[in-house]
Amino acid sequence: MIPLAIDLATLTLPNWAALAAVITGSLVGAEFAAQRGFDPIGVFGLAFAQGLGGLMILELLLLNGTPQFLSDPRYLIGTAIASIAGFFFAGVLTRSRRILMTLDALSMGFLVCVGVDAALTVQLPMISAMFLGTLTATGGIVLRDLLAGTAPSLLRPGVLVGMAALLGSVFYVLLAHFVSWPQGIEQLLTVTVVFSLRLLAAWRGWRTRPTSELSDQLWDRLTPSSSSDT
Amino acid sequence: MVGATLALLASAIHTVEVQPPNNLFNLPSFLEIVAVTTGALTGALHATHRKLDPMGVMVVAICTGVGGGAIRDVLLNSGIPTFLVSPTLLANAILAAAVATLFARPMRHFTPVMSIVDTLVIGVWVVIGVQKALLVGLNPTAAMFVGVVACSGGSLLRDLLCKTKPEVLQPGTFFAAAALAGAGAYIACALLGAPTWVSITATMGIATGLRAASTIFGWETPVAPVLSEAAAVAPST
Repeated sequence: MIPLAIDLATLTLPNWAALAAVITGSLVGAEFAAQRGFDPIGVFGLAFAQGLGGLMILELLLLNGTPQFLSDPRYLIGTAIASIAGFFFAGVLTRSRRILMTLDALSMGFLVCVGVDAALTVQLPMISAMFLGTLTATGGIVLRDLLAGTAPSLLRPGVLVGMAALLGSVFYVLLAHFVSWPQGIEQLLTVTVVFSLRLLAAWRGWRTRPTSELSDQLWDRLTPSSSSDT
Repeated sequence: MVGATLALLASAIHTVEVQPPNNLFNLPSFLEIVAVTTGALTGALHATHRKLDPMGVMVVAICTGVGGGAIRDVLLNSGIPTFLVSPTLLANAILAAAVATLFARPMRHFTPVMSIVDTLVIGVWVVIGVQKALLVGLNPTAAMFVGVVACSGGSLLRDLLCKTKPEVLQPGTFFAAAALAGAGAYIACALLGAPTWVSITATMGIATGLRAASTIFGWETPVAPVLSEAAAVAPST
């Protein structure tokens, strides 16, 4: 068991946070693939996509040299172990879906922090940092759906997931820009925001609706009032 | 025999050298902003019609707008992609997504206007792509490829994310083909030693003109002959 050792001197996310997020993402991806009848390579592929997809896109966009998941063996080993576990124990994982979802919500918070930190380190503008934070946290899920050949669920009406990453990124960037608290405290708050948004959404059943519906509603409301004005 | 001829041809092309443009800023930078905004607007409308949620519409709008440029910059490996460095592009893409979300219904009547702007924008993508590739010191073939990828990458990402058939790869009106012709025109002008503004005008004229002509006159890209024979045979069996 890894101790929750937040470095008090610098107060930043411990360096195993990204790894933990990758392994959790891989587990979710592996479970997804196993439930849909993929073979071992397919399970690993989807686990890899969901676990490392976001970080891979982030490093590609920032031209960060050889991606970290290649130079640091722990990432690929973690993904492989997660996909083996997903292949053989998919049933167990499905039954403990709530725990998995909770862990996934936590790792989404970590990934938001990783993405935003990377963008701010190379001194990109605020809006790019918000974009990269969201991309790092959600890119893996979209990539998994693309590889599985299904329409990306994240972009479609359903339980609110992507919006949590977006709001968390915006929150962290604003915090980092306007309040100069220790980085670790800002990260802790961001992880809390993302985590609680996702858990609340799952618990209260917050669902997003099709944009066209919202737009139609707006225009239905506008049209009678404008006709009565004239 | 055919292979040897092709190899000879390829090496002959390979020896051709094109001078990089002396000044990249011959193309006003606001044109890239216009191109990104147009792409984002069409992407957002596409996503709205396919019942994506607001987050999805925003993601698709951003990817359609800046996707081509992002792929281009990652391929050229010449610095962090433009859309991340200058905040204007992302801000405009998000604004376009918001406009498309709010005005999806009235904007249905402006589809022709949208497609005209969309056609005008092709040349911009090609010119920026080819110029950037030449500046990095790439050979003409690669520069043409980068120009076409920069032009069609956004539309490709949009179709992938919306789970529709990639429009660029389907037979239909000239899109990537027009971009390729435009890129070829740029290289030809550069080989003939024309000043940069002539190359830019020729590229934009040919790319936009071809796409416009194919839309107006109903020209369609041909289907590979084997496939069309198979399709002709299929009903009888």
